[in-house]
Amino acid sequence: MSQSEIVTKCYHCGSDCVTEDILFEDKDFCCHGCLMVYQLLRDNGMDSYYLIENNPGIAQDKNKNIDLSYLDNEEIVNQLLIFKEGNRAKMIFNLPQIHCSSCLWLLERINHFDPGITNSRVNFHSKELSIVYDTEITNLKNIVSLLHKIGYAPELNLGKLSSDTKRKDPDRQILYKLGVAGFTFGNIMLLSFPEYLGFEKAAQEMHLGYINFILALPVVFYAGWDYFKSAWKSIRALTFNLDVPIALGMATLFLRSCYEVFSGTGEGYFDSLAGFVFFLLIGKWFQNYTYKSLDFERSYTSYFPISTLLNVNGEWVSYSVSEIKAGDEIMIRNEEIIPTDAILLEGDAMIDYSFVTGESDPVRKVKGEKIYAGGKQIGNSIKATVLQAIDQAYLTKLWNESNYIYKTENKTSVIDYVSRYFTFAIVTIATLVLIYWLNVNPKLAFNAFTAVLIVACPCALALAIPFTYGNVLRLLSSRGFFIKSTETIEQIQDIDSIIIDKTGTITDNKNLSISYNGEVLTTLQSQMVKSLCFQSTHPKVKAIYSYLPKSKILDVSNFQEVTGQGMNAIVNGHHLIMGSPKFLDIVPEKGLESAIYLKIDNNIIGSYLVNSEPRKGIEPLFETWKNRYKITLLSGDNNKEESKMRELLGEEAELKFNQTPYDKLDFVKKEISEHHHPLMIGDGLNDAGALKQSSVGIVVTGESNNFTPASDAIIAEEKLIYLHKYIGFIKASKWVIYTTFLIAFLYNSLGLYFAATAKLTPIIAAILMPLSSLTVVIVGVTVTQVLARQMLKES
Amino acid sequence: MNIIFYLIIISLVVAISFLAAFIWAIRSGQYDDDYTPSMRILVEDDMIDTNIEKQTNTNDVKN
Repeated sequence: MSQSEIVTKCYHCGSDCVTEDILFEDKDFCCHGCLMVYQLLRDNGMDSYYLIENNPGIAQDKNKNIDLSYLDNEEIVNQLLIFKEGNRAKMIFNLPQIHCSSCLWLLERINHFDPGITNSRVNFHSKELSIVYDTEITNLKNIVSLLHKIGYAPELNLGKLSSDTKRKDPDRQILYKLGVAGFTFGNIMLLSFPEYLGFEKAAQEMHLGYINFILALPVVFYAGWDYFKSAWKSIRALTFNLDVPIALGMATLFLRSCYEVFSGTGEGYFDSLAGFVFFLLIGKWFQNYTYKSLDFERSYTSYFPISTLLNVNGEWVSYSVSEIKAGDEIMIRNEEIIPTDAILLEGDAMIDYSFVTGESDPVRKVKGEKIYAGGKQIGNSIKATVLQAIDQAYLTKLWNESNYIYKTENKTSVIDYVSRYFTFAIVTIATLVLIYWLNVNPKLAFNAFTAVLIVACPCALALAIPFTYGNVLRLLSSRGFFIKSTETIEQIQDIDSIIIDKTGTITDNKNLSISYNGEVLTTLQSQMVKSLCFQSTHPKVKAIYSYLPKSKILDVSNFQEVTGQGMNAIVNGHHLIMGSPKFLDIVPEKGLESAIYLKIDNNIIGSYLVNSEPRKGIEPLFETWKNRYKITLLSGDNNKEESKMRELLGEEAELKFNQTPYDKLDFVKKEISEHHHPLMIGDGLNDAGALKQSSVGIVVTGESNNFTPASDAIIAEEKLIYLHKYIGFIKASKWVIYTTFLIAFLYNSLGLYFAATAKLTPIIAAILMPLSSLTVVIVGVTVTQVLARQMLKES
Repeated sequence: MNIIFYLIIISLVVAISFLAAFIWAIRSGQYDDDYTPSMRILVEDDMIDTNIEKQTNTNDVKN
């Protein structure tokens, strides 16, 4: 393994062993971190971790220096814990790194490393690890540092401290109700068999009707009770949603059946009643599909750290961020997030605001300048004086409710619109039938009247949206587009304007494009430059590092780096300098002002221009949208890429640069007040306000950022280029709903014919209702399935 | 005819006991996480013993 032209994969994490190649017991490792995890697992007899999957480990972050001293603070620990009783404590960690069965195996055997851990359970879908430990033997700090060591750094942020984001108990109500409804449905159906087969007399002799009545009680008063409550609320608000005809149907079914049983005139429709509630609940359960590892309601607290270093009488101590006041002096180290607005006191600040404001280049700040919360310091530690408490900071104020206006025409689902007319029509028909029969044959009048109300029960109608849109939700989530709820689907169908952020949304912060200008490098020169670049953590330098051809890293001596400016060192006996034109003290060529220049032994060799490029394959997205929607670009960055964006977004698009988070919010407000339905696509904290205000807010998320501001939908960054297809599919699914509505109405009309002519027997009701529901469900699910296959091809 | 009456009661008792079992299963949290157990069953404790054998096998292949 001398010249590594052959790429070896790390035994632990599967990364390419490029920079280092460490051989241990015949196995290759990409870095000492991975080797350390391997040795740790091996020493504890845990190395079957590697047998479950190939290279299961998590790549180690080489530059991370973690400080867990805040976990010595008992108050913070108690706020983090789920519960503590005597010396038993329980903690739930979010570990986004969980990805395979090896993770599961290792994390559930974590007590091999720390005997103080009494129980550890993984929830794979929600990517959570719940740990119970003995406070006498171990403590939270030990456990967290153990997790860091084995590569599963838990997400511990300010949001974890507040009680409302702590684990809510999963909603089990719907399951209980489903169980009860299913049980009664099955049993009543069984006991109704004699009647289906024409043995009414025998059924009556055995008092089967009374048993059915008792069985039906929990269906009406427990499983289906929510529909009555909702219907009552809706009547009082005069909105007449779909629950009104549902409740009307249920009440009629129940009362008429009771009358028949107790008067001895028949067996009633208890079977239909139980079946009806059971199907409705299945629909509800199917619709409430949740993505357990995603959170659509995040606030800024999930982005900020728990603690920061505070100067208390000359000593630096870890202090809870939420208790920091104006005037406090804090220290921010390399790669740490600035917790609140502050004035720089000391140190060389290079702040990466890309996630906060959308500026793609780190900003240099000098003593006395204001630094804003959310930025990330790159380089040495800085000291600053706090200007205001965290909830008063410039960015966090975006979350204040007073900043928002109500969205116009809030949530009028098609189904609510339909049900208003539906309720009215049914009551009218029932009354007409009643009047008719009172004149013709009064004996049948009651029968016909109630039969109309029963048969018009909109079971099929009520199942159309849960199953059709529920399936759309599932189909899209399997393709990396996660929508909050079926209501969001209807809002997406209404959008007419698209607002998009640039940095991190259209462009990809990780895939930087590099263009080199200057003399062609020799193999040795390129090897030297690569070795120099390896020393730095600056994102642009890292990009140049991976741009250069693979080669062995040479020894570097006298390495010096001025953060954000440049670096110099002796490599292979040559003096190399890389950095900004200012750092090299030269006048840059036109268009290369932000380039990184390279100087070897006093000769300027060339320069690297690093730019974030639009995502690969994003062109068809805007090609499709150009003619259909009003497109607006809102970027926090300067306009240096205007021509590139213009080309991408088309002549008609509005391009706005240098937008503050509040400008973005105001723009969306303006759109809404002009009766547009804007769809906002963004990624960072700076888009948070606009995302929340817009009709539909979609957040782009990737491995690099686990934080997603509150939104209506989340899309994986590599899937963004297919968003036009997803939205086209969602719009098409509206027609599926119309089709299912039509089918439901046809069945209802057929039922009405039987009802109005007083020919509706329990067996017809028992067949018609499930049959119509089944048709609607099958049509809704299969048509969306076929549409998805046609429309969502990824090419 | 009476025998059918008894049968109905017995069948209801059986059905109710199933319902009770279902409710118990929900209460004990079996439905809270319906995915992880399917993975857990594939990775068992005794893998530690069998792994030495497997490891030598894979090494043979490598060489």
